[in-house]
Amino acid sequence: MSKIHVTTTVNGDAVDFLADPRETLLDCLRDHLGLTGSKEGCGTGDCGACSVRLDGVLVSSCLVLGVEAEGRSIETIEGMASPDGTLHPLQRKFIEHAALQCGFCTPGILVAAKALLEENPDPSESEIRYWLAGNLCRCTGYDKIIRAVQDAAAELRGAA
Amino acid sequence: MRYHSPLTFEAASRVAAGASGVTRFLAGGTDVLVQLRAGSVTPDDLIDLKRIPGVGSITREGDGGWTIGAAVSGAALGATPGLVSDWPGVVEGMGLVGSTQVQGRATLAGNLCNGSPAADGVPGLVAAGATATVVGPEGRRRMAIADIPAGPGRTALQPGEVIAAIHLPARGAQGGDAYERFIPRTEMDIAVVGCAVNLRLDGDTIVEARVALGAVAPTVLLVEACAQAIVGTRLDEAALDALAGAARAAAKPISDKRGTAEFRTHVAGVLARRVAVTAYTRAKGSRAQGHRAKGAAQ
Amino acid sequence: MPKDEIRSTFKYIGTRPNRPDGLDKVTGRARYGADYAASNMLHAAVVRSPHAHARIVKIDASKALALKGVKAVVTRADFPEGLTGETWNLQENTIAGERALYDGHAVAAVAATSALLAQDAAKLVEVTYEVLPHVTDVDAAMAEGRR
Repeated sequence: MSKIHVTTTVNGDAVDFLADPRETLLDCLRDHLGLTGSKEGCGTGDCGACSVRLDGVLVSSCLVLGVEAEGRSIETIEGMASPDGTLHPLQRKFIEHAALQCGFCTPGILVAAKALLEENPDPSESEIRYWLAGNLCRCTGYDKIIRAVQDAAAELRGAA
Repeated sequence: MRYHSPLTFEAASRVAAGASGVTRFLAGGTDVLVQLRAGSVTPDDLIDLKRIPGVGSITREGDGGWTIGAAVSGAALGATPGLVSDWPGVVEGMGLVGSTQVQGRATLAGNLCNGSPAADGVPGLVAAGATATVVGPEGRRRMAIADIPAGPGRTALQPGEVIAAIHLPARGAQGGDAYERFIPRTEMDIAVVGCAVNLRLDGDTIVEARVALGAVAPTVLLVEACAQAIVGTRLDEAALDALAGAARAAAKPISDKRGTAEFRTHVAGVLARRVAVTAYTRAKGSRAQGHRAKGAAQ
Repeated sequence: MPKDEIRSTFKYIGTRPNRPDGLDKVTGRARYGADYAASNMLHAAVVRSPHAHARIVKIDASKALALKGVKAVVTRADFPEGLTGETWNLQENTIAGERALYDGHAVAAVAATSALLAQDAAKLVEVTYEVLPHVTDVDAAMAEGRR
């Protein structure tokens, strides 16, 4: 099976890799680039653990082929904190509100929540719940996740 | 699997027409990649349409109609205020497909070609009288969306044919459309029944109507008897009763884990009433309220 | 102990300590089993029964083993014999023996140098089945003559 050379941008860095056309973007991030923060929960677009931004759009990276990333720009959980290590307010609030337990769904939820707050800085609880409906968590029961997103949104609005 | 990323639909069609094995066109990929992953469909040739210029564009035509490229995502539809204002039912139908993440990729053309009888994106298109530009080995042709579904997982497209764009007619004055589905939860589910209504008024009286039902037959149904039940009325209670009766009579559902045939038949009538009222209200001039928030239908 | 001597402040109880693993988990640095990779690591793929109930007549892995990079194919023949009780039950659920007992029952497993190669090889493992009748509820399973 011949591989395809893919040149793309991940968290602002130019990267390239060789992808079998059957490999998903998630496979490529994890196996070729060592970015294992994006998780494979289901592989079928149901759980949201692999959420990334593709040219700014929230997508499930298990439903994108690696070869489709050619020339695009990808943001993953690894790019969420500042380069100096300062956490994004969402990350900080998830820790403060204990909005995680096993943590497997957390990277995907953080990436999805960041996309929400950029589009809608003041979402209602309903809007948060619908936006995150494609992010499944089997530990925390969602309530703390919603509170953490609301709290982070309030802080971000205050800072703006 | 060979991956192709042609730059024209004609080239895409040639690859498909010349292939001997299994081929799939790739737009949003939210069905194709799931099949690939499950091993249920492993294409020998996968033809990515997204490098074709214009495939991701939404264009308002000179006559007021809309052209939606084959790779336009559900999220992009919802982010186009003019389209939401003209065809809220089409947009809200597609908006019910999958999660936010799926919305970032899933397309109307893909929802149509996947061939699910329960596709939420399709009844709205059928009710709107939408058409598709189909490119194939014999050239380009226009097909009515209503003529494309041929059964579960099947379409009337010929080998090598690919949908290049979907066209919505000009909205015109005093028109409104709406779509709702029934699901047993509030989000992330597949329609038990779906219904789209598109109508036009003269004053308070309905002068044109198209009613489409999803998930109650092997393909989406355009129900002429439903239209007849409300055309010439002001959507009074008698008209709504006649509409519900016509919807129930047209429904030919199966029983499966999502619902029994009896339940689906009943819900077809309930939804037809409800959706018609929304479409009527929009046609009366409340179109500015736009499409409802995701899930508000429940 | 008199009530006024009950302590009302504690080092941790009643406070909101940050979880020690929180930082790693919100940054994507936390490592789970599937996140580890080692040099020369092999990847597995499982061949599963497409039948709800079938006798396994023959498993031919020669085409799979002929692929460069395929290191092993295991079947029930590679497992111990003569187990009883819970260990037998566990083994029976891990990999099918004489019969596949449900759609999806593992029949063979392939180890190869990449996940895709293992999946390709798994498709080349040829299993000959003799399809047997199956049941879909408890009453039928308990009916006379079933085992």
